[in-house]
Amino acid sequence: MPHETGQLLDQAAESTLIELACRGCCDSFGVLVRAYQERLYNFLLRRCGNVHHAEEAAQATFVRAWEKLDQFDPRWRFSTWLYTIAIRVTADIERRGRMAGRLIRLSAAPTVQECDPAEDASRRDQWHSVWDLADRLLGPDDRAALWLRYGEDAPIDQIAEVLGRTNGAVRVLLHRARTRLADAWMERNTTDDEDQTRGKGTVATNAATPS
Amino acid sequence: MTKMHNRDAPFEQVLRDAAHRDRRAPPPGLAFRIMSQVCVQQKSRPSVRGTSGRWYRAAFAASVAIAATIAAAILLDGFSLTLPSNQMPPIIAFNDAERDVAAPGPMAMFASLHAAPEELSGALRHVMNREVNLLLEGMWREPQRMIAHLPLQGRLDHDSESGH
Repeated sequence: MPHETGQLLDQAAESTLIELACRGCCDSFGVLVRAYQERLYNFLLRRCGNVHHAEEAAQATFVRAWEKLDQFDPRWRFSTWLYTIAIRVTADIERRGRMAGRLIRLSAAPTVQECDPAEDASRRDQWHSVWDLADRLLGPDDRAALWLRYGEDAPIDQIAEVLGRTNGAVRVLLHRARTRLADAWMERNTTDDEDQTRGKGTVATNAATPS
Repeated sequence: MTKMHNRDAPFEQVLRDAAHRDRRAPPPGLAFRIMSQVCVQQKSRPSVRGTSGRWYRAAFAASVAIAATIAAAILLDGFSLTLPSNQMPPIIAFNDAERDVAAPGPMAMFASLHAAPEELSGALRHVMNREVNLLLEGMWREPQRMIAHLPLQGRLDHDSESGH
């Protein structure tokens, strides 16, 4: 049963594939992997803030899902169940990373103060997206919730199930994360505008100055 | 809440647009690596999926529990056999003529065993081991003779006579 990466499955096909995979059909599970790998990878990318950890977590999540597939409750969405496993897997990876003392050095982006001005300028150019800013600014759960809400259009109750929180707690978390991010985004844009104006002004001054 | 929603609405759209734009493709070969791992697991544990997996786990847990109970009983010497005083274990119930041939020492011990079960257990195990060894040795050397004198037939006759 061929299936392209990232192409969404309809509910009936998904249920059939899960049932077949439960009986040990590797190919059916392969179709599920190809259908969900992109969504899961992007979710993990936001949750981990690190390409290597996201890749490792995606692999571990699918393998764990395969192991626990007989425990899957069909009343759940498969994606919700998968993201719930992913959250646990990332928690394990972070715990291992903390124990090894490597996680912070590997995953945390350097702060502006730690960079020299030239690096700082190029790095600021790289933070072209509001999601890159979120990676710097917000915690893992905030980023995961925001991504599920705006990247996946997930309803609040699904996000609550994935994160193991109440609906109210998720609403509060989303509101705070969004406000914080919006403030930083506005501030950054204002700074950029000022820089551009100053740059134009300098160019104009240089042009006006006789050589 | 509505006010907050309205105020946040433009930024929500920014987030949605950026999420759509920033979506990345998974690393090449990710699905292959996952499926390699999955297939290896399936080969090493072919029956651990679905219902059969549950039975497999239940059977495994039960066998571990039984093995642990037996081991604990043997280690703690709490595994005592109680035998009626007038009934000998069938495997060693030779008649008097065979007693000298097969196992004079252990049979004498059995004949004199009227001790309490807790005293019996250690001695019984010791004797049983020796008797089984002797019986096997006898079966190896003179199988016809040994089989002819096994107490099975006599016990069956006795049981049928007594109505069991």
